[in-house]
Amino acid sequence: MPELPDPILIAIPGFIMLIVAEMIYGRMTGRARFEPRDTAASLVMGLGNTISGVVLGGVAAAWFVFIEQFAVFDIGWALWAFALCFVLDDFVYYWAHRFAHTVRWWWADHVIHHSSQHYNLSTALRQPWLSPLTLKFIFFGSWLVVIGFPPAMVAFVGALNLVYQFWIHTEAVPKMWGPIEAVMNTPSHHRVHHATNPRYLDRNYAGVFIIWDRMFGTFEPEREDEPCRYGIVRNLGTYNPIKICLHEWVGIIKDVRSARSLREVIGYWLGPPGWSPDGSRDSSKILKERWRRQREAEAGGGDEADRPVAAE
Amino acid sequence: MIILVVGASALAIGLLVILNILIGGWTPARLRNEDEAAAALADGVFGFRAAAPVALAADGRGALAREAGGERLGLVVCLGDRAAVRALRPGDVRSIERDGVRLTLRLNDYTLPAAALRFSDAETAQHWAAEAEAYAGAADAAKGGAVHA
Repeated sequence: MPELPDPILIAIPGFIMLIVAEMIYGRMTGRARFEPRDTAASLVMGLGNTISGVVLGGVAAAWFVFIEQFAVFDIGWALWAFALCFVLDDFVYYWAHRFAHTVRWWWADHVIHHSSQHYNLSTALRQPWLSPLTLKFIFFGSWLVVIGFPPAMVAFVGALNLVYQFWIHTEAVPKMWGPIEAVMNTPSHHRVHHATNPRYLDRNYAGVFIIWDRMFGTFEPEREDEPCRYGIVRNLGTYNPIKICLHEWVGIIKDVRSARSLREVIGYWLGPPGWSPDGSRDSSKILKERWRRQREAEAGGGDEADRPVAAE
Repeated sequence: MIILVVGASALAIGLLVILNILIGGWTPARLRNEDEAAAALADGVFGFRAAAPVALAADGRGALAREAGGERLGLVVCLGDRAAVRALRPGDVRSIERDGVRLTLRLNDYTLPAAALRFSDAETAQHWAAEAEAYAGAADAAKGGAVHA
């Protein structure tokens, strides 16, 4: 087994330099915006993620060592294996990411990354602290190891995938050359992913290759006539890292405690974010449907919806 | 080694935040008028249409408005250069405090536990304190967590 470096540790100085560069570029051009408390919160979440990876990462590592004995093939360490593993890992990432947006248990972890209303390189580092406890690695991390890729190789290409995704968290880079936009996940595609506009909700789950979204019907291009509004549907009123880390877990616990049946428990826990027994909350599906109906009404001569109207 | 990495990372974070402060380039969010407050509500809560009158805080850092044709109370609280927006339903307000022109709503909301708005006159504060009364009471069990994006 070759000695593999940790791509993320190697990349950290580059992350810092690029954040500094984006801050300066943003100040000069207005094409990137940072707010100190938001920046601090994002970076502290990133540091906490690194620490929790050391503390809790052993759980996932032990799982991969355990399941390695069930591997179907012995693929080994050839260069082609790295390349194939990278592509397959990105495919798995797409589905893991998609489920992270559609199952509240995993959304509670992933929402942290979406909780900033800013979209800059510091947002890329706003990461959860409790990921291993969601056991997502069992459901999505096991496939490649069971096929026969060495766990260290899977971890290595997974880290490369995350390093790639750092640079796409920016407003400073406009749409790129067509063929690149067609194949790769780019800042433009990922801006859409972080946007709360109903048109953009739950779109562009890709990690490195946007082709997965195109294949599975979740692709949405960025439009000049609809600027992205970043954050989450119910934006946070705090910069407190502990609250950022725990807020959706607290929501799940409150909801499950209020459930009146097993169906409601499962719905609040494993249903899509925003699920409620009576459909009174705003899930992505409900918001997109309301938006679609509003567009149809507007096309039929409806009026503008963002002005105050006289009270009855 | 880990302590060194964590210490260096914490130092780097501190330096980046200081750089962000020194460079500037952001301004605290302010709602300049009722239309902007209504637009913030519409942007923050899809489908929310503010009914007139919209109550704008004197410093422009917050606003309240009833929902046109609906039962919700719209709340905008500026936070840094952005705003947190809520469409409050009955049970979402834990308590209401009014002190002259200042109105404080304490909410059953983990990430936005309180919203303090200072109006230009006590009459406005009193009026909206009375409006908010309809949203006070026991926490509605069907409320809760942030939803996706």
